[in-house]
Amino acid sequence: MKFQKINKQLKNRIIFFIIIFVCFSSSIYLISYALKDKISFFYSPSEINKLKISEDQLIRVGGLLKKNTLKLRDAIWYFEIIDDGGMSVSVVFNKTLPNLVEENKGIIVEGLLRNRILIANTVLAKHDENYMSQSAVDKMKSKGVWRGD
Amino acid sequence: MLLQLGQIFIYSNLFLVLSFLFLHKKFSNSFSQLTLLSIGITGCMPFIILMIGFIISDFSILNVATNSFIDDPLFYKIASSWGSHEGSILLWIFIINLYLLTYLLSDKNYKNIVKNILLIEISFIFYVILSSNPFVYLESFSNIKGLGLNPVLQHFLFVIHPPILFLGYIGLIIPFAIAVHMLSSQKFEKKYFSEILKWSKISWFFLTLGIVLGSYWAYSELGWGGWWFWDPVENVSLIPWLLTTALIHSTAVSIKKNELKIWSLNLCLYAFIAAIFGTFLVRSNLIISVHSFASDPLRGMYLLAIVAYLLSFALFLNIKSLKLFNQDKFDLLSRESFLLLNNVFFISAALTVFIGTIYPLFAEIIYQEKVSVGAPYYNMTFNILLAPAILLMSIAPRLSWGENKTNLKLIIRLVSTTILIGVISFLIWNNIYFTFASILCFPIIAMSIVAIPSLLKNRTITFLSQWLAHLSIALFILAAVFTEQFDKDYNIEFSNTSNATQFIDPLIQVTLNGISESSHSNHQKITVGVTIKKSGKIIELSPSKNIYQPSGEITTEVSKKSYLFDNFYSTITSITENNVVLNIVYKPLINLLWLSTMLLIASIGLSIFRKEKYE
Repeated sequence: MKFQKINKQLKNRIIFFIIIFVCFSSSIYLISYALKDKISFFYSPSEINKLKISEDQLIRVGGLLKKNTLKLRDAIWYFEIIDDGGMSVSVVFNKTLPNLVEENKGIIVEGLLRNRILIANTVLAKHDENYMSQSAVDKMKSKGVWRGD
Repeated sequence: MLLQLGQIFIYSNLFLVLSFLFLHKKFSNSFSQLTLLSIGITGCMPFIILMIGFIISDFSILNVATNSFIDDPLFYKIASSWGSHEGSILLWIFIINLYLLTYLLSDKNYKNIVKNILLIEISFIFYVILSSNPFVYLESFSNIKGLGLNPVLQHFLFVIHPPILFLGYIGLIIPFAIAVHMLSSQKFEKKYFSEILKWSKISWFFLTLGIVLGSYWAYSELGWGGWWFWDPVENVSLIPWLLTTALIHSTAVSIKKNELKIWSLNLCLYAFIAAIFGTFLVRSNLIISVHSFASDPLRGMYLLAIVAYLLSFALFLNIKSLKLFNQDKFDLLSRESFLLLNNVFFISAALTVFIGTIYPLFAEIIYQEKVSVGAPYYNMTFNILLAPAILLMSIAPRLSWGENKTNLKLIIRLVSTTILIGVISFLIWNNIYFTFASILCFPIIAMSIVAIPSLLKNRTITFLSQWLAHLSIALFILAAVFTEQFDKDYNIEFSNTSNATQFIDPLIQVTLNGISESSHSNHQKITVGVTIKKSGKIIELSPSKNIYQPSGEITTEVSKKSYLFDNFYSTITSITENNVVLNIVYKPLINLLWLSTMLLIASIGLSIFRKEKYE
């Protein structure tokens, strides 16, 4: 009788360990699979011009919004992102641009590359608590109230 | 004046905490109570003083000058006190002390546990003194009006979201302190498990509310990625949430069946460490996030040191308690074993979120590649791993503690109706993801309906809160999948700005009513009025652009209105004298999503205030 009870407990414990093992190993498998195939790469404009990037690959591009390139035509935004190396990439975006998107300021865009043009589905705006746009800083400097830098 | 007062309180708090930690064994009971009371008060004061500084706009404090503007409305001035990094760390210490004071009221045998809370508090006081002291003197402050709070943060949720989230994170300090005490003394008193359950429910309440408010805020702002974006800053709040959810479920087993004790205590440790880890990740700027905060490597390193210290301490306690692990006995088909399974799934899910969040860091160091991990990764891992947990949720509450008999008839009925619902859902909406979601959620809803008679007969709050929590999770999943699968996005251009009408969809008609301008205390506002007609329903929207003083910053303000569970969301893409471009987004069922989260929060709120006790 006692032996039977211990036996049953042992069986339960083994089943539990198998369940836990299967769960954790499948999560490790899923994680490693997803990390290989389901992540988007982050590029600078010069890397986009240099590397071969698949048209189905969702990518993010970060850099500065190039001066005098931001234009709106037929409810679609056109602009270019430029990096330190001076290389740039053209972007098309058909929704409202978020706050703090401004020329010569940092911008991150997510989308697909078609014929070297980035078709953006998301434009992201960073919101740091110390953020000040360049025009705001200039304005405050001219008023003599700026204390940053 | 305020500045010096703030400094005095910080240092006197440091002195009191140190003297309690080193000398508490020599203190008499009443003296140590007095010391703890003064610790609590001196710990709360620096933050209160900073807040007063903001309210009266005392620009001799540098932090006030850089983060507020003299004409800001009062509640933004108050909120500015946690708008900066320094202020938010003071708020962190303030809340630790609030919890300390409330805990003192509830426990007579407090010394051993309070000691552990103070060990955490002291590391944060050193943090303030070494790297983030807001009380810095600003010379020649007489002419300035302040730099102003960042306009994108000027939202009513900025006033409540951060403190509530902090209440959630820091509430985990009490389970942590109790767990450290129990694991190091190796005495497992039952009453402490009830305390752990109570405090983890309280933090879970605030944590969930904080996350939902943050999610609603991100949904309301443009370019923040919508209600959930799998952004690192969002993820680091989800990890402690998942672990606390697991903790609440496993502690129930510890109390009821006297099992899974070591497991629960370890969860307490890791839930709190996850909360601090989140702060570290957010503050260190190691990972690119949309919701970025001002950061500085030194601050990050210091927080990393705290995390490393806590982690090694937790590992030490783990090794010490390893030999106690094997004592649990379970029946397979019992409530406790299902609760254990819930834990396995939730911890795996937390693990996938953790790995997804820190992977970009590793990819950069090891492969020199910059990557970002977003929704596709989490759909593949997190969603798949939690799916079995959702399925178990339908049956688990029906099981009793200890051994159960297999109810084959019930299972056959449930499986067959679920398959039927899946087929119907596929035929109506023709969407594979929503079909999958309805297959997952239908059993919970069905079992909740079946449970209504026993709910009415039984009338215990524990049962009601558990019933409501599980039902609202099912509603949440349905709403989340539906809104993501069936939302629509339109762009419209009006070249004639008076009373123009357009159809953006055969069923949706948009009319431009006019443009108006108004001025407010710290900004000018340009508003566009539009009317949307969708199958007989009329929705009025007024998206706007704000021009802020003193910076001249322009922000795009979202206007959204609901009809039942659906939501229309509009923004001004561009505006000139005779040309307006609008973006209109249709989000079906998004309000069901918010409602379900409110029900979830209400369910846990109910169980915190319940009268009956687990015995």
